[in-house]
Amino acid sequence: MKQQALTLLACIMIATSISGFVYAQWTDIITIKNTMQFGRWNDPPNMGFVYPLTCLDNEVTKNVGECYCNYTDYKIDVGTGWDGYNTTVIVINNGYPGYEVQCNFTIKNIGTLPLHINKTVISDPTNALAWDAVLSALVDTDGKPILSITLIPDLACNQLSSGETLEAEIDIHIAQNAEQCQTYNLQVGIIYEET
Amino acid sequence: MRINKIAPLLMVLTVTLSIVGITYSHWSDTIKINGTVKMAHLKLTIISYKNLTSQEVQEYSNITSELSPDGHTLTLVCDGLQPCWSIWIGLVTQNQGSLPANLKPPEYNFDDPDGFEDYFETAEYFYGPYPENTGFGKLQVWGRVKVSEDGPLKPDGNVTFSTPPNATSPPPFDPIPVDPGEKVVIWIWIHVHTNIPDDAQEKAITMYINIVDDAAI
Repeated sequence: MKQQALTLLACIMIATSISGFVYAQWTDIITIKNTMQFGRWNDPPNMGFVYPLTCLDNEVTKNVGECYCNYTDYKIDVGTGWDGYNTTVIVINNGYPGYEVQCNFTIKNIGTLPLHINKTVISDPTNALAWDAVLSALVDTDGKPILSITLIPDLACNQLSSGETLEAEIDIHIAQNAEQCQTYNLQVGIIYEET
Repeated sequence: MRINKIAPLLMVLTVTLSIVGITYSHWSDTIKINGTVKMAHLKLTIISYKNLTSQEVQEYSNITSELSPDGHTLTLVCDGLQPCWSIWIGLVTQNQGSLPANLKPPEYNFDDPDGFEDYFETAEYFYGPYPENTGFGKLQVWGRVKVSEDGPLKPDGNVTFSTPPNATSPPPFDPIPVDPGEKVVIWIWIHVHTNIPDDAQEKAITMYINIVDDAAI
């Protein structure tokens, strides 16, 4: 009985070794050539505003309100040599309730690492107004909307690989509760990180 | 013995968490959009005014007038009211705001405990708008104007200016659009009906004339 088991075991071992040999005979190597470019570990993720940048309003007949926009805080990425700006500045003069400004801007991943936009944070840097996400507006202390702000598309959750651009627009609408002679401020922070 | 095991574990956790924090802060960043919105203002103001009446009315009625500091309201105090009493009020208004405005018919309010308000009637004539740099001397409907049967301001409420008014009230009345800096002259005729009670002569009445504007956008 013991001898039979040993024989069976020996047979299994031989069969296994042969099959391995046979398998080895029938295999080959396919070479896939690819180039992988790695980001440099020391480079931070780098996103910036790039041109085109345009600004227009909703006035058709009379030119009463004025809007300007430009980029500031120039920067250049050491790794890629691409440049961009850290800040977009939008100035609205002589605004009135119903006046609306549409600013089309472009953001670009000017660094080497792929990026992910985590979120956008809209606020009033002077804290005179507060952001109301439900109304999508900066509201006064009574909760009345003063500046309605819309970002199209929603920038959060967008992913940009190195060199990729994303065009977006910000719409600023002055609501009926805005007061004469006042100056209102707004800030949109676009927070991103390396993926 | 037990403390000896926990302490290194806590240290490792602390070090790990601090490294994670540094890594996170190093690899995230923010770009910003900064906006400033400067609001316009609406300000239609009376920059000059006149109250004119006929010599006949001047003989029995005293009329004083005062413009409010904001240039929005003209206050008239009148006494000796009799049937057919009338006065012409001239207002030069200017859009001193930064928005186009619509000039509407003035509002009249009375400080009138005796209820004589109902015996008054008014009519308005609007001239303009004139460009910002038009001086008072060049306003054809302002200088050397008098109340007379021959015009240009007639006691019966008619006007004979060669320049036709842009609009008159009562209706139909369309608001006059006035761009920033432009001026509009308003002539207002105020008249007392013939059935005003006799005791009105001994009392004074205060009338407030408020100019009414609205954004023309």
